[in-house]
Amino acid sequence: MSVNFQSLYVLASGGERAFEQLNTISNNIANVNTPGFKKILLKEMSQKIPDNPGQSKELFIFPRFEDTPVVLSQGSIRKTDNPLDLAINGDGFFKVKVGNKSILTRNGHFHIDKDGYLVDTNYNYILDKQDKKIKLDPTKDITILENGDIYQEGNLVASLNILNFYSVKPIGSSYYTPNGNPKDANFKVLQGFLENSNVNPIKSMVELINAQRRMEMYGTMMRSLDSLQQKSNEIGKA
Amino acid sequence: MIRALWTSATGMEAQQTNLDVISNNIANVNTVGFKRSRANFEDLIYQNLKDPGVLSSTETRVPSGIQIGLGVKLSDVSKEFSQGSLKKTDRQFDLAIQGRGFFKIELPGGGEAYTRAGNFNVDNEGYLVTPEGYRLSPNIQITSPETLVSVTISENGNVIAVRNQGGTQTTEDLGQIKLYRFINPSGLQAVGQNLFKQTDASGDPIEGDPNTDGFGKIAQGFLEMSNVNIVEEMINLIVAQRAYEINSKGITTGDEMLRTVSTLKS
Repeated sequence: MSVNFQSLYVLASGGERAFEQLNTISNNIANVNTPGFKKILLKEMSQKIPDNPGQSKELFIFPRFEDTPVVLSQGSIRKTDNPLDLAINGDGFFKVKVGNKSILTRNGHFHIDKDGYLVDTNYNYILDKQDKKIKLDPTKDITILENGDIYQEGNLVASLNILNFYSVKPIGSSYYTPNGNPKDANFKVLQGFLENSNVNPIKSMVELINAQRRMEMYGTMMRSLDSLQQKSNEIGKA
Repeated sequence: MIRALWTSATGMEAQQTNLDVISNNIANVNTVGFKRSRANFEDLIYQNLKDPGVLSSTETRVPSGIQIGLGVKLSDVSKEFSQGSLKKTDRQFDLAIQGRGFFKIELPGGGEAYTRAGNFNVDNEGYLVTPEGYRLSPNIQITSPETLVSVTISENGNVIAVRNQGGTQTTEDLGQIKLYRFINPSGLQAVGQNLFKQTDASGDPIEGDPNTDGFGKIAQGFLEMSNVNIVEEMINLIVAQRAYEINSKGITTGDEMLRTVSTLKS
């Protein structure tokens, strides 16, 4: 066999990776306007197939996923003037209670529910340092300090529980679950502001071009291999 | 066929809704008592191709796994009840609220609604009514128009009629305007005509007197303007348009890549 099919499979696997790259970039772009969204990076690795004892000279390395880490860089801050819009400038996440579990969010667009508790957009409770729900008096002004302490008319009502982790996993609806143990957070809570998505549209466009050209390159090479194959098939016809 | 096409489509759809909300704000930039809205978004679910924390060898674990997101969705459209600026009109039945309260309005055929728009008129029976003719609640009735000189409404909502009876000026107390507030005003449902209705999310209305604990003062001869900030809305328009554009590039890229695949086989 003059043309080795193995190289076609390696190229095809590269093509698949190009499409997965595109999927991840489009998800980042779709969330370019989502408050508190953190962009996702697609990391690839090479995977070596154990040498084939029959053809020891051939060494094929497939491109493969490694992981999709969440990039925890700061998003830009937007002024909203709504007293219950909170942005975290720095590390950390707000702790939210969903059912019996607690999860994390950076989307600080909060409300007071009809019973007076501080909730997020999905009406899940925001937790304080003692992991309790935060009850506020809606008839009084709410002042939130940079350290997360909530004051009403000069009295400390609660303190926001802001947690930081080495890595988190996105689960949708602006929520994240932590991996591993919490670490120190260095942050400022800004009242009347929201954190924008940290997706950079310019970088995302470059990544789109990159994914497209990558697929094109694989395509061209696959076609060349195919025509080589065709030529070798024609030899026998003479 | 490929996720990216649908993912980018969710992004375009989200920005379309964003544009709808911004346009409605701009359309109401001069509407008395109008409160601006904001569309809020959140990411959709993620497909887990590899869970974080699984073993990658006998001693190591995958730190973050592989998650592919499926795009974006609208989470809510929230009303922002910040104070609008006051405009002096000198009309005696124009009332503005400086604070967090709402006027209560009786709807025809029963039911109640709440409004910040204080451009009231007097109907043929002397009741204070909205431009649609819906009565203010509790009712304020101004009778005997032939002797009426003026109507004064104080910061506390007391309505006093000044009358001229046979050459002497007298005053008559016509009642008090009450204000209502909600624990969560962003949970109110906007129903048009500058009116809001209470919902489970807003909580029940709390009745109070004007000029007490944050209910707000009543300013006679003033109207509260819309709280739409036109500069901010123009910026939001630009952001929405650009976001829409780059999402469409996601679709064209996906399309081009599929073309490359479909021409592999000549």
